[in-house]
Amino acid sequence: MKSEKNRERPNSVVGFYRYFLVVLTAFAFATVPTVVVAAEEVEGISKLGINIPGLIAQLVNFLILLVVLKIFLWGPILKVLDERKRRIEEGLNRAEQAASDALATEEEAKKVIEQARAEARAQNLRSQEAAAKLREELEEKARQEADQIIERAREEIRLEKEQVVQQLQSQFADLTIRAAERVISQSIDQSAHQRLIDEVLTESNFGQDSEN
Amino acid sequence: MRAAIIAVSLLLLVGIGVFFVGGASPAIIVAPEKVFHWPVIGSVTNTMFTSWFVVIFLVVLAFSVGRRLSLVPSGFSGAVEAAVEAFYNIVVQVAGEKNGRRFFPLAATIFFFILTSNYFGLLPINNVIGLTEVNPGFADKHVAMSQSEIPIVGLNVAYIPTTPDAVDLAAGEKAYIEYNGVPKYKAAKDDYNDHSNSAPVKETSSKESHSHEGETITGFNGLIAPYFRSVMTDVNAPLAIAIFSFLFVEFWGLQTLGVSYLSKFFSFGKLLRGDILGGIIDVFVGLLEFVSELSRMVSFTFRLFGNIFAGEVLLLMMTFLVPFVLVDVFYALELFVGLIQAFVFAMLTLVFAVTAVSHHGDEAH
Repeated sequence: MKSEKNRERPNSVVGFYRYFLVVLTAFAFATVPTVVVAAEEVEGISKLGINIPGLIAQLVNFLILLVVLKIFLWGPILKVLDERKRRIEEGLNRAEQAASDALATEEEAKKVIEQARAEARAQNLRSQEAAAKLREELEEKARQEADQIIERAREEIRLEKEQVVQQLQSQFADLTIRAAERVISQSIDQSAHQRLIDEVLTESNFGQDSEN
Repeated sequence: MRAAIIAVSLLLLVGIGVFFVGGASPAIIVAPEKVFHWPVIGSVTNTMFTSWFVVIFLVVLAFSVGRRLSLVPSGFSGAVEAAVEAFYNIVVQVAGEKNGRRFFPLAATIFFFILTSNYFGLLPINNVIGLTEVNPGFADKHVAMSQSEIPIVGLNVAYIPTTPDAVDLAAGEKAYIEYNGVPKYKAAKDDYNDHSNSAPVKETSSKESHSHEGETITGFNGLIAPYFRSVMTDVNAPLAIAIFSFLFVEFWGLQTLGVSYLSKFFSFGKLLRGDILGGIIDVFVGLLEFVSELSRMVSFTFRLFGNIFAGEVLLLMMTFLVPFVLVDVFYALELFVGLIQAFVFAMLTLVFAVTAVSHHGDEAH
């Protein structure tokens, strides 16, 4: 890159100065001497100090300065300024790039975190649901079991009751038969009759049993 | 309290300057004096001599700064670079990026050369050290000084005397020169030409001179041709820069617009097409354009020359009238003027260059 610049520069500079020198000499030959000679002929202007040697000296001075400063000061300074500008632009671009990169990364991280959080939330929900379901299931099962137990108990009670009633009935029949036996064997009056029955009933403890 | 003390002491200084010191009385001579006569080069004027110092200073500056330039600016080269960059930004602002780059070397050279010259002209070595001529015989002398001189290393160094002095005129005639008097304006040539002169003394000295006649005379009175004089007080210097400015502007115009640039000055198009009235007007306008282009050189020259020369005269006069304190104000003013004139010269060149390379609407008419 540097060599390219170096190759380009001198050509333009040389071309420029050659072109310029042609014009300069043409003008110098054409205008300057006539102007100065004319000026020197006029008393007033020469009193001001315009003279050819002085003018030539100053022209040479300025030309020297122009060339030397162009080559050794303006050129290098412009080059440095350009280079610095380029570097700064580059740096700024890079900084911008870095900033945007950082922003993108942050965004990405945020997204990932958000995602993770959502996932966790979903997981949580799901597990809660599962727990609830499980509990319900268990409850249902327990209820069913309890019902079964109750059912069974009821059945047992019913059966027992039937048994008791049957027993009672058979006992009652027995008692009745025994009472009747007694009644028949003693053949007594109405009051004795009643008393016998009461006796039998009292002996049998029927009333108590039925209350139980 | 402190301010009062300072004010009083400053006033005291001014008073001492006015009443007791008495600066050199300036004689205003426009043309630069020839101070050296060297074998090959011929006679060298003081402005030429000073301009060499300025050129050498700038060249050395360019070499030393140009070599030490780096991307990270530091020290002196950084300061110079900052100044140049500031000027470059102004140039780009005026002429645009592309043209600004093209015009910058010339504009910057003009600006910094003139600026350096002007500030160099404010150094106290100017108009003080020089060839002295007790009995001035020709017009190349610059400043008449009521002052003493001592030779140091072969150079005559003039200084402000504490006693009044006078001069041996012609043929042993003695005359007193007013110590604290009016400035002695001498357009020199006519007055000093004939060697039988009593004329300058008669003109410059006033009533007092008679009362002191016949006193013993010490010191020196005459003209001093200083070795150093502000460069731009020589018309040739601004003229040289103006010529370069003119050449470059025309060159850039030709380079950018080609031959069509010349149609600004020689517009015979309408005349050849048969439009007599319009054609003649166009030709006339072209002529005006040409003359104004040339007259720019003159205005360039005399704007700079006039300002700097007037500044020098002002400083000499003020040093003569109020040697202490007050003269500093005028030095500050001259610092400002020197900067402004350098800037104006460079900016006008730039503006003319921009006008020259921009297409003018002649074809559209």
